[in-house]
Amino acid sequence: MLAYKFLRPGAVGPFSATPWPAPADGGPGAWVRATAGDRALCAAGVHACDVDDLPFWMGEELWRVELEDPVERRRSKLVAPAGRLVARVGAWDEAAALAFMDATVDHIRETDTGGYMTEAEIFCVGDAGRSDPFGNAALSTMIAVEAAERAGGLDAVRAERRRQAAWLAERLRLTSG
Amino acid sequence: MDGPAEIRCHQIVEIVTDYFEGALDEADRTRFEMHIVVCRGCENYLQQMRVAAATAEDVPAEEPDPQQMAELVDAFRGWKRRTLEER
Amino acid sequence: MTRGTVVDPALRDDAETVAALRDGDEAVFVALVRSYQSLMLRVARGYVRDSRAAEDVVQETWLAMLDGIHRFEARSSLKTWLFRILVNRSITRAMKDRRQIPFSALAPDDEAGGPTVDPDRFLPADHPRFAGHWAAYPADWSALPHDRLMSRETMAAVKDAIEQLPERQRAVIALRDIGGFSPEEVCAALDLSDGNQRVLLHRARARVRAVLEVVLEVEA
Repeated sequence: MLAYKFLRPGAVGPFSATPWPAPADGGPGAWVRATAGDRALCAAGVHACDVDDLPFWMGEELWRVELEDPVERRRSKLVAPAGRLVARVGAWDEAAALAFMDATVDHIRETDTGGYMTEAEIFCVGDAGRSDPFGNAALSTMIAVEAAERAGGLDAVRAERRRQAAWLAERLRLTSG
Repeated sequence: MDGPAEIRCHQIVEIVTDYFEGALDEADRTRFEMHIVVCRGCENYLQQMRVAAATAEDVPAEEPDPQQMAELVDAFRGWKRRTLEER
Repeated sequence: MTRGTVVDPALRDDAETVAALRDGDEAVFVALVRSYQSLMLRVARGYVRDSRAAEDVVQETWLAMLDGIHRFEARSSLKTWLFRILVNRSITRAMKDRRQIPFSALAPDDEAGGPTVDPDRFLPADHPRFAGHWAAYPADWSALPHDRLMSRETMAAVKDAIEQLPERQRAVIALRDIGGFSPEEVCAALDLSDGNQRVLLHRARARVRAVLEVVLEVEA
């Protein structure tokens, strides 16, 4: 099954610092496998995203990954015994992250009832925002969700996550499954 | 998980090792990771703790002191003699 | 640079090692000593503090191991058993030398709890917006050149930091991060619950991190 995964620069796992082998010779990278004794790589399996999960896990590099069966659907992530990198989603770059952040800040501005624009302005606007495009884009997802919760509760939170995912899917031309 | 991650930075830094050791349950692990995604400070701290563990790994071992080694070998030979005598 | 503990490949199988010792195989004994002596001294020094006393304790431990080898049943691993003897001897010697019970060596809980990061590094609880967040982010060490991390100065600082730790934190980080012991092996060797072991490891690593921060972030 194909899915997506955010990684740190150099295709490094964001929490375990596991290096993910890059695709080579036109083929996918080597399999990365979760093993029972390896606490660094979650023993339950390798994690990945489908399009709806992406806003939770925003990072510097976005990759298309192949997951080995059986793939388990959990809240906000997919879990599989192994995964391998298929291709980099080159469209996800600093410019895209900054555009995402701008769109998210615009949305906060339009819907905020709890003063969250103050935070958005501190971290996600102008030079401050640009000082760390990927980090602040990720932060904007959270500020937007907090603002949504204040404005409209859980329904608004879900809608905001869908908006974030839809934005990414359209901009990056992502497909599900 | 639909709501925002509620855990704060000063709490994150106290459960970093629990995270590394796989001691957090699924819900807490997800909350922890989601915080790391949106917080550069805690991401850097996680990396720093990882470096601390890895650097300790590279503290060089000291070769056994030759005098102590000689004493131990003597003691071993003595023990061996006694043991063989008893058997 | 060699890793902190390199165990002789000939010692991989406990059953074979024990059989060889019982047979009086000196080469195996020497290999065992070379593999663990350094780590044993490091742990012992945490309890007795004095180098000479630590050497005595380690020598005694080897002899005790030999004396007990015929009775040894493989209920624990050889190295776990070896370090249990070491720690018991270290505590006994520390008590004898100080003529008082070192409570920190015997207490079931960790030494005084409390945050492992200076609370001043976070915004206070009454901050209107960002209570509990970093006041200033810790630095990104992934950008540091590798030889800065591996420099003599860094190594010396880390070694020193470990040596300053209270005995059980020192023992845990030495066995885990220098010795490569598994969490279960450390719990067995030091008679700790999993939770205790984790708390001690956490506090020890937090201390090493703090020391590294000082060393690495000095302006060149």
